[in-house]
Amino acid sequence: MYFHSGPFRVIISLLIIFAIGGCASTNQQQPPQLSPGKVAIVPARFVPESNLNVYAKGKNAAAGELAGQGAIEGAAVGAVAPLAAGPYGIALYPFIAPFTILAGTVFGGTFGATQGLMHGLPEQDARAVSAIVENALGRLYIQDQVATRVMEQARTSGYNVAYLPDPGPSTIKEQPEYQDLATDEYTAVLELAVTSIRFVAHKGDPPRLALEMKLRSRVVALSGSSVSGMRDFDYKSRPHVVEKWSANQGRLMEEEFNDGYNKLSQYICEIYFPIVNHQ
Amino acid sequence: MSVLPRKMIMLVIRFFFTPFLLVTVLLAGCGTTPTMYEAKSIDEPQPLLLGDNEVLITGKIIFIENGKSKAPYGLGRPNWMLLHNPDDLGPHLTEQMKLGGREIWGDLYIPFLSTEKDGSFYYIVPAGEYLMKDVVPFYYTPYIFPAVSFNATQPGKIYYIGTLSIDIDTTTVLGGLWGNYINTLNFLEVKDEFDSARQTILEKFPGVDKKIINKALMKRLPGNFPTLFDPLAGMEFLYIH
Repeated sequence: MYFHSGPFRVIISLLIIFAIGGCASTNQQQPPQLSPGKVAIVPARFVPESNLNVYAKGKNAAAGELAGQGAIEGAAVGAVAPLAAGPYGIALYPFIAPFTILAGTVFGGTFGATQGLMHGLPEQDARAVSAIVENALGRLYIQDQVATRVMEQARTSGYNVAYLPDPGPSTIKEQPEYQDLATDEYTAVLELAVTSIRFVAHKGDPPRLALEMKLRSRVVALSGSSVSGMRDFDYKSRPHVVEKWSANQGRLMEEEFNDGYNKLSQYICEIYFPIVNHQ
Repeated sequence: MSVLPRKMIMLVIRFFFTPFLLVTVLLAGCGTTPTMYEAKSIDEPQPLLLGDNEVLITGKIIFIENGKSKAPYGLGRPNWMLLHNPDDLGPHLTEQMKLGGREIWGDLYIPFLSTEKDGSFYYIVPAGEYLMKDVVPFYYTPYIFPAVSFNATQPGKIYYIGTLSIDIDTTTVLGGLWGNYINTLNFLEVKDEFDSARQTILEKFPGVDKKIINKALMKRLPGNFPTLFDPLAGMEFLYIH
């Protein structure tokens, strides 16, 4: 109780205040950037990965899977927790650890199984979700949908960009160097790859599903002062119950996909093609 | 993916380690203290009296927990914090908040803000630009960085800043006695309910001039995204993972 009450928050605030000024160190890397010049926007050419999260596989599957994982994790936490008490914990470790490990195993296993049973989708819904995912994956041009929107928004903001559909990576691991494009006066390449599409089950009665899309952007500097690097973007839809997703021939899904494409392209443009810097 | 919420695991670790952390950090004694401002909350209907550089901000915060609205609120009312005239609103705040947010400040910070039972709030604060630094139902962890800001710059005005709707999945341990954990931040949006809010304002502040009621909805900061964050993040070197 103590950890989450008002006094705890005050303590946290004090900690934060005292920590200002360099108590913590961070490793900061320069984020990828595009400098002014001709930029090639290149979509990936692979089909995004898809997997249901464990709650969307069905109650029984979720309970079994989470119970095992929970027990292992609980045991691990139980094993290291006494060490966190410093010299006292280390000195008393042989006496404390057996109890904390046992407690962690039992608690973690029970917790995982309960979570799976309580919040897993009913088996019938899980099958319906699988059908939805397969249908979604069968959609073509997912990669192009985002990249073309980025190109349009960037051009509207006055940037010099070109859309090149061919040279992008054909697998998630491939990272082309695009050196050929340097001779065409491109200063940088912005490669956009939707890496995964998932329907994630969220708690509720009945459970709800949300569409999640993950996008990897990669800047490859060819000349000028662009900074090469990668940055990830996520889109999460509002959660809906399964019936809503499948109603009206999947119209909601169409809308949420479109919203996802628009939001992702907006996020990308905010980072790489900001309006404020161009006015 | 971990079965046990990360925050739950960290709580166990911290139970053992926090006394050491407190001593270590307090002894270090580094840093400067930003200025705290205590906002005046108006709960009962009354004539509105604003100081020279003051505005009234109003809106709602509604948490949807595991598919159900938490309003009308009991103990788990929203607990939130504002920064006045933030130092910068660049596209890197989300990343900084994930590191604990200790470098993000303004000329004032206004902590411990809450809401009424229905999620609405009425606070008198200095005029200016504001960043909502964190928001969370009371007695929940980790915190939420909503990545929204608003402008309430003209003294003497009432600013409606919108309804912040936040959908979260949570896990409760021992009926909440040992904590409530936000597992995922599912969705966050700002809704425009200006018409009904204006009506409520007119009832709550008898005699108020309609012309001073402005709409200044919270907006997502470009390049930033709502995220869960741990205020102790960035101090992991002090913890065992």
